[in-house]
Amino acid sequence: MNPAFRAVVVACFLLSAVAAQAQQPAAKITISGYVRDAATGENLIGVAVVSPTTGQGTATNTYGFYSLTLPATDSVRLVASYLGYERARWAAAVTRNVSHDFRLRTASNELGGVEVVGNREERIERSTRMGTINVPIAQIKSLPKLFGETDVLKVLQLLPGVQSGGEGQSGLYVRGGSPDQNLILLDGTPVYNAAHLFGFFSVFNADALNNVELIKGGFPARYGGRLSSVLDISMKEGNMQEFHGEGAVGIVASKITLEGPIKKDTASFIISARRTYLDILAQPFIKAQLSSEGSSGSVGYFFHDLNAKLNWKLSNRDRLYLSAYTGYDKFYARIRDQDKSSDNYSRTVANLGWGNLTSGLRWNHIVHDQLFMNTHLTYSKYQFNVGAEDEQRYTNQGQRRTDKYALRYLSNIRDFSLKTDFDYTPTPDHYIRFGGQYILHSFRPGALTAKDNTGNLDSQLKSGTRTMASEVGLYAEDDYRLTDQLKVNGGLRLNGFAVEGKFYPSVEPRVAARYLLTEDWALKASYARTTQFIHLLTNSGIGLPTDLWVPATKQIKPQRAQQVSVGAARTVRFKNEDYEVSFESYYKPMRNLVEYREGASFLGTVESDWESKVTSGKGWAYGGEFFIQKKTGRTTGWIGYTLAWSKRRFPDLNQGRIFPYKYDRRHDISVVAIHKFSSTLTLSGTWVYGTGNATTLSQGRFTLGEYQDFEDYGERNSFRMAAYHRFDLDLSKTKKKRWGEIVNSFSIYNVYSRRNPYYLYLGYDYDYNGSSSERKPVYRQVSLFPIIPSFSKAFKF
Amino acid sequence: MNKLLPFLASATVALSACETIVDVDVPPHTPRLALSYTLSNQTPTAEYQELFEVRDLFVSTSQGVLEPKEPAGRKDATVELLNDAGQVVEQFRSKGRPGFNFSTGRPDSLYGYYVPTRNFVGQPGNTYTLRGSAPGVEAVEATLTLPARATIETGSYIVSSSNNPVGWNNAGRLTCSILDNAATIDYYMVYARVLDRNGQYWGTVQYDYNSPSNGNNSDISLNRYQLSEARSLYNQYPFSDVGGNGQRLIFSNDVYLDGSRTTEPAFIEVTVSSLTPDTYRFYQSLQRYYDTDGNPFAEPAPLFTNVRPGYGLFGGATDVTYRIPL
Repeated sequence: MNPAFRAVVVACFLLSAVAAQAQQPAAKITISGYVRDAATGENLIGVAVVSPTTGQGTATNTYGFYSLTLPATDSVRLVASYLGYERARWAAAVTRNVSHDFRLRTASNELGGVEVVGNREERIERSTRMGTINVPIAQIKSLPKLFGETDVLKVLQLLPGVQSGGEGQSGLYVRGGSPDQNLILLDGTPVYNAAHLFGFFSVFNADALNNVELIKGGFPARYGGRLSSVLDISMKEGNMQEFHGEGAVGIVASKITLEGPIKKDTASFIISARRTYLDILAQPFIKAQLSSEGSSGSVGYFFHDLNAKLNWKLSNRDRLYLSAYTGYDKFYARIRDQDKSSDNYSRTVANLGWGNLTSGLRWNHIVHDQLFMNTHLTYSKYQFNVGAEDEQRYTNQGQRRTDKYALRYLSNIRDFSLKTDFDYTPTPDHYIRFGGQYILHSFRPGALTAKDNTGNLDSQLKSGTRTMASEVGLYAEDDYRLTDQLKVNGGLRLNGFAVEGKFYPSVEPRVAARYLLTEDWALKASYARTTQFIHLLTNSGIGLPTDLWVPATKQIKPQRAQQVSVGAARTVRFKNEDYEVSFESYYKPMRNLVEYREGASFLGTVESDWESKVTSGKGWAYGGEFFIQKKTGRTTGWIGYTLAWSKRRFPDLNQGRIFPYKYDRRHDISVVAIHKFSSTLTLSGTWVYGTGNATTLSQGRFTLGEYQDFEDYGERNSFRMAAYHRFDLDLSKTKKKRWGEIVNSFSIYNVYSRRNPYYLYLGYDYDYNGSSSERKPVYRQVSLFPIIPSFSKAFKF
Repeated sequence: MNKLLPFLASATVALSACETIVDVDVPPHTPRLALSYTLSNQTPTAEYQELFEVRDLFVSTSQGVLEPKEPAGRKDATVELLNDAGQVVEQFRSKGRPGFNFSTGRPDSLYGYYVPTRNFVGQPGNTYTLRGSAPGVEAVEATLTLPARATIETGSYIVSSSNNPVGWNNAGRLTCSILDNAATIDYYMVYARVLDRNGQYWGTVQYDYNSPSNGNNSDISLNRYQLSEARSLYNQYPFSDVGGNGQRLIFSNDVYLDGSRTTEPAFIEVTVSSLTPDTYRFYQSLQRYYDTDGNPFAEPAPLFTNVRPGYGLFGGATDVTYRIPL
């Protein structure tokens, strides 16, 4: 057993043993329990549980658990409140520790509108957390869709400080960082490639999700391993009371979700599946086209997702979860001549496939009324394959010859992880979290290359080596209310990474503070040091699945960053509606960033020689974000504005001079509005604006001989593409049925058909003058999506 | 495969992609001299110049990227080679070549090429400076030190017993062993040609791209050492002694011979060129440039230059030959 892993396990058990023995002062009592949705039994995360008598309160954790220690009195009163739900009250005469579960009911519509009662767990100015945004699933599903598909990641791109890489891309570029610097967790399991179809859709099926939270800064100590953000996504647990289902049919894909009890109030399941059918719809046209060219075969693309989860309540103190996700993309082309007997015959097969497989076994255990434990065993794998076969039959000098070759390229990353987390709430002024994690990484960035001999099929394989690495993390943090005005979250994370006989330690202090200037105004500040032990090598700007995950090694150091944020937050009351307003500025220096050397690519990367193809450098990102959000009422939504800079400097790139990061976006604006005309009719719209991406274009041309023309590219990323802006609309109408409901949605993507730049290249234009023509160089801009209307039909039962 | 992925991505977006011509605020371009010349330790006879065409002096002027006319060579440049004492040891004169004028659509003389007037031979270990100037542009300059000769230990050619893949007269395996100097970082390129029994040029030695031993797919070459062709910039494959410094570097390629049908080949003449570091960097950057050219999703790879403040290469190559009897 790895010594580091052994130390983590022992430390966790010692801590749990000590904590289990904790005795509370006789003058206090602890009320603990879960807060769940009354109809579905789903955990509710971040619910405010408050004692109106004392003013003290807490919030439910990721598993819906709360623990509140109060002065002992003859009776106790608690109120649980959560956005979109009616408040629940509980009062009882208690003189000792007691367990009580709240079941919250969805807010009713008696007023004829959709008045939502209740506040979220903490007003924005109360929380110490900075750079954290929680987007309700219902809101995600209400927003306009591309090709009829709801996309979680695209909604996150509407938040300040988060941007997309380009038209239709799902990658998240958070505060000047790159997509690999985001820790994406699905039920606590990391997902390495969250994109389908080169980034046009994400792998997350919104119907299967319970909660989406993005942390851009002020990272609590319980998160580690990435530099720029944490995207923590929780799946639903499955309805413990009744069977339900929902699904949707769109122009690109269809999906269905089924959930229900295996044993009422004890065990439940949820399973959710999605698949595209572009390949099926296009087959007749493709076959006809190939046939007209004397060929046969098929060409297509598809992707699918499958989420599944089992939830089993072992006892009042123990709960077991088993969850899994698998998703796969495949592009294929199989083309051959129709006449197989001809002397001249050709056959080509090409395929490109990539996908994730994640699974997790989780055990929640209430160790003590003040101590909650979560132990999580996970497995995550991301793999892509590229394959090609070619057969050519021909006659040469009277002899019949056959040439064949085959090629296969494969790369993957696999993680096995054991993690234990404790939530300890000894008093309302302290919310302590501590725990540890061990991850065994397995990297295979090299390629399996199959070569076939001409004439004889003689496979020769040259395999890339597998690199194993261990990552260990220990953390402790305390959300401590020092005074009524001052609240601090202080923590420390210790990380270690062992690979190829080299050990990289990392000490990561984390601190966030909130000071209430007035009841409504808060000043916030945070500092976090982070380390990332794995790198993503990317050769392109469109997030191809061929991007390689590689570990830090003896030569290539881990990435490191620090982030300082300061800001202010306030809840403003205007016309009886609450508006959360916040402003944050940040500064984030990064080092040991990794990029491909100029002209290098993943091709031919065998035997772990990728280290010779990359170079290391530094980066800086800084800026300010303004955010105003309305969460209640008929009209909800937000406005976000970001002013930001992101720069890089690599000794081996751009002759060592500082250059703008490709996704250095100076201005970024998002306006989101959702208006409910009634409980059955919703109109939503989004408008986004962003400064154009930086790009490298040629500035001059020269020749070094006949047919030897070259372009002079000048400074890296010194040009700006045109600004990006787009307006989307969605209108949804709900029809109630005896068995459930149907939601018909009509969306328009890019309403005014703006030709947003996808990329630029140097091409030619021709001026025709009678019988002659003049060719002149011009810059051509490729745009992707003009106005695209789409229709989808969703159902729920 | 280099072309497959951009094709796949392009095919995906082609469904609804559209193109427009856009105005880009390109900064004004200052024309500069672009110059390419490689000095060697061989006498620049007509035969040598024809064989090592990539080393010939060519001069042009750069232009803005949106100028409609094609970049062209210029015949009015003055180029001199100086030794480390500052003495002019070589001068060049313009010499047109048969070419094609795309503007008029007719054959025309192609200018920009220059020939030496003094047939100067470079000496390994010596330092030389190349200076170029032309009316209307800033003068340019570059300096190098010619490296020492490589040491060829052995060479062999074994005829292939199987059918030739493309029906040429002779195919086989060419092997050459270079004893690398442990005291220096060295860069090499290897050329080969076929001579008849009189030592006259007979034909070419072609790298067999279909051979599985060479790396069947040109996009994924697992063979570190590859034969270069001296007439075209496209086929220059330099390699360094990294990973084999001070050791025996074994160069081994499957090749086929193509030449005269009236005389018999007698020798394969292998030329191992020791390169200056800048020459190596230039040809490496050239490969990267070609690999990314036309791929809109890849970061462009700029061409290396040691000609300041212009473009191009003042290269240095010290040649040593080895004859393998057939």
